[in-house]
Amino acid sequence: MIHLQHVTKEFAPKRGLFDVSFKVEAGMVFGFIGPNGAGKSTAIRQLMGLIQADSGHATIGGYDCWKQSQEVKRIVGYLPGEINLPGDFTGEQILNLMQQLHQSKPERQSELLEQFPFETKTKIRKMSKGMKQKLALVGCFMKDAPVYLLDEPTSGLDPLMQERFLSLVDKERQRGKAILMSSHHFPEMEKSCDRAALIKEGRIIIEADIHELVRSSRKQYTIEFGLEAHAEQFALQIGSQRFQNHVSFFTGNERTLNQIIRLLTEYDVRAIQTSADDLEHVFLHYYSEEEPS
Amino acid sequence: MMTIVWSLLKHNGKPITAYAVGTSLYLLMLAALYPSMMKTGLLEAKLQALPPEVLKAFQYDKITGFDNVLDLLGGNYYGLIFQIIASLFLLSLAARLLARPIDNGELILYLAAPITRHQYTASAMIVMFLASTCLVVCNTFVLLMADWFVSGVSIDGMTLVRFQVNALFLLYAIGGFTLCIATLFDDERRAFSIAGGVLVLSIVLTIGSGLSEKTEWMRYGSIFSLFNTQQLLEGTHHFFLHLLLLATISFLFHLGAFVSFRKRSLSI
Repeated sequence: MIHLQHVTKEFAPKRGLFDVSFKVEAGMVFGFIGPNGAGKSTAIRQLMGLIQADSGHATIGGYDCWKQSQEVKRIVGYLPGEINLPGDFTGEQILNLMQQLHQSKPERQSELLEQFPFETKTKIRKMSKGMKQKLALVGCFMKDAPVYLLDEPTSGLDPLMQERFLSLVDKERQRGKAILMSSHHFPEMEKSCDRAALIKEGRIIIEADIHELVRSSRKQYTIEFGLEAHAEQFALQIGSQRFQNHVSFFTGNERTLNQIIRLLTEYDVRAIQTSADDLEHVFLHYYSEEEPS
Repeated sequence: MMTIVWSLLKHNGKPITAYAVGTSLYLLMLAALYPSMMKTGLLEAKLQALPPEVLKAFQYDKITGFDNVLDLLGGNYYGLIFQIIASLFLLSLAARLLARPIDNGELILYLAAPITRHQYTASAMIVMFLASTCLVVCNTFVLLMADWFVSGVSIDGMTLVRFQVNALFLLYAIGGFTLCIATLFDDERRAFSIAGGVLVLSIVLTIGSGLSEKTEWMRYGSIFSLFNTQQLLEGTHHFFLHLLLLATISFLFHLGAFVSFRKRSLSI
């Protein structure tokens, strides 16, 4: 459905997109991960026909995103990263306008407003970030489009709304929608995405199945020892740092979890903790690898 | 496309109405005061005291004097005030329709929908045309009302029509220019200052052309020379030629706006 082939758009050296390629099929949620200024929004703008590529080709549903942007936008629901709407309009006026512009069904709007409720009579300039985000979500999904491009979709949402959003994304995936989603929120990417690409300075540094990414990643563990002396000795043994009776370390190809467990049998171990944000570690791992020494 | 036009009109209705009503009330006030001004002779005496350069800058003619209210308005309002108001009106409208939505990203509300950039530009153009027409129609209506209801005000219908049609074409031309400049930049202030700078220069050239015979050539560098109220009143104005020139300028700048907005990358 969504297809980027060797797309390059250079704004300045290391700023823009450089030879970016990926595919998002129907019924797939594709995560786009990267720090600020990495090129996530530029790639999404490329797909929305807002930016013309220097080279390469971007298509959605077979339509060229730059030359046939009207056809592309007919089949795309877009949620921008920054919600900027005319301040004098109320939420209701914006939704009515979007309904007319996108020719969407009012029933779908009512369903979405039940899931993401907010005061529709409030003027945009009086709305909080969360309210504006909910308005934009309702506006985006009420189109019931086969493709969704979501730039930082949970920004400003409270945890309950984030959960509702994730279940909506899951439902849409099951209905065969192709969804491209950029986010910094790693747990939600792990929960919702099928595949993910990590982008840095405009280049994709890895693209893989999300579970494969997490599985192949280095994981961080923290061991709590009964005695500080044990912690000291273990830290020396594995070349890690001790904090009181805690020692933290990463596992990977050079230091497997099995090797660590064998060593730990000789110590008084109180607890073993793993970090919850596994995808974040994948992200940090790849980024730190790429940093110049 | 009508949805976009309607939405843009709704969004910009207040400033359009404010300009139309404000200028119309000013015209009504001048028309209402005109009979008493003429009775006391105060105005003529004051104008006689002014240097001829200042009178020329405001397009007053000492020889013809004030036979009717249009003679007064030709100098007082249409001589310079209208040019300043027209510039401010169209600069701010073009900024609200294009430069600001591009700058702050509001434009995505429309461009995320299945509409082309040409359709949005055409909608902005229609709103500018409607706003300009509204201003001129309100001004004309108020002057006709003054002609009918205020005793001592007699307006020559044909001269009034020529005034207003010429003013309307001038607004279309300036509107095309401000819209075209608004499509060129991401930064609203930059677009506003460049278009504003050119229009201020045009006004300065118009004023400068009246200072002496040596500087008269300056008026040819200003778009406002295509709306010469003094010549319109005297009947020596190349009315149709000026309309044709203004229409051509308007067409070219609007075409420029379409081409430039179609091609540019938008960071919204």
